[in-house]
Amino acid sequence: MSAVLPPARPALTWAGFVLGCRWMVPLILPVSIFGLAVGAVAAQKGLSLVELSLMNALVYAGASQLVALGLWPEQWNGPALMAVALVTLTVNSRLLLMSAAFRPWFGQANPAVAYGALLTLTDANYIAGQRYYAEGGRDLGMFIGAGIMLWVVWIVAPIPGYLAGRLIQDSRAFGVDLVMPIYFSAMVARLWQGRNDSLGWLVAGLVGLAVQRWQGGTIHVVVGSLAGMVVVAMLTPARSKEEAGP
Amino acid sequence: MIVDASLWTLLAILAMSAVTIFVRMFGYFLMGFMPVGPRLEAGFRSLPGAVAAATFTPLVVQDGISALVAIVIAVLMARAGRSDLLALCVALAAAIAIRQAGF
Repeated sequence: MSAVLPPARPALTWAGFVLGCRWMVPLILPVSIFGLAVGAVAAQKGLSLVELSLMNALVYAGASQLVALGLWPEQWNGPALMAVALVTLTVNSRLLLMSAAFRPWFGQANPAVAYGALLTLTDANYIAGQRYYAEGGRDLGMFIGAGIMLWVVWIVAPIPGYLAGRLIQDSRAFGVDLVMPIYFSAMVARLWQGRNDSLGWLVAGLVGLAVQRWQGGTIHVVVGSLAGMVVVAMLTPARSKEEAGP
Repeated sequence: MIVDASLWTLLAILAMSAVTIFVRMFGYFLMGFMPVGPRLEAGFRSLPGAVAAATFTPLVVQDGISALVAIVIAVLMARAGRSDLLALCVALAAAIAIRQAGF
């Protein structure tokens, strides 16, 4: 009898957790500054500090919080609640695509661990996690560590912004707004594997730009990246006859 | 002001949290019913770059030369095998220099 080994469960270790935390260190400052801005807006809109911290802990999706706070009404009713929920869903719809991408990695894990890990999903640990996976890493602790690290920053950072009630001056001159784009670009540049990626990413950029020009808002991220993903998928042979690599 | 919480605000926060948790999990859930073939696998592998391109192209067009130079430097240094952190430092320094010069 040939014993068929069950597929190995991906590891979940403390060392992986620490590694994930370390990947996020360069993002602490830009996330904090973004958090300051959200705190300041929340103060303007009349949220209490408890409400703000609850939102940071439970929603943990900065861009959507900023947009939703822009719609924050002075008098609440059903339609206002719907509008806030709907705009949050729209801004965060990119996470749907990102969570799907973790199936190959998390699929063998205990479902409770996999879904628990996905609670911490955000752009930063999506991109870092995909890089780590592409390099052969399989430890779920890395993904969770990166997610928890920024989650803590995201809960703490808005508090001074809330208390000060105003934005820090001219962070643009010091390039703070560029830290995330630069760091993410460097990380994804290593994932490039040839002509298909070039074409797909070009399409993603152009579609993203066109949709952003046409619609504004944030939906261009979803439409553009989906277009790029489809291009790469279509350029890939449906059956891998030769596993010779790219 | 600091500690009070209104029922409506709490409801709104819970609604925002619920829809966000839904998108965080639902894509992964759906993929449990879909076999991941070579095409889908290649698409997912390529997705981070597509997300970055779709996010940052409008940013570069809007922000101009400093963002463009910074991202190009970061990509070239990463492809040349330098560490992400070093790429970040050099690219950021270039962007700050360009902005301080008034562009």
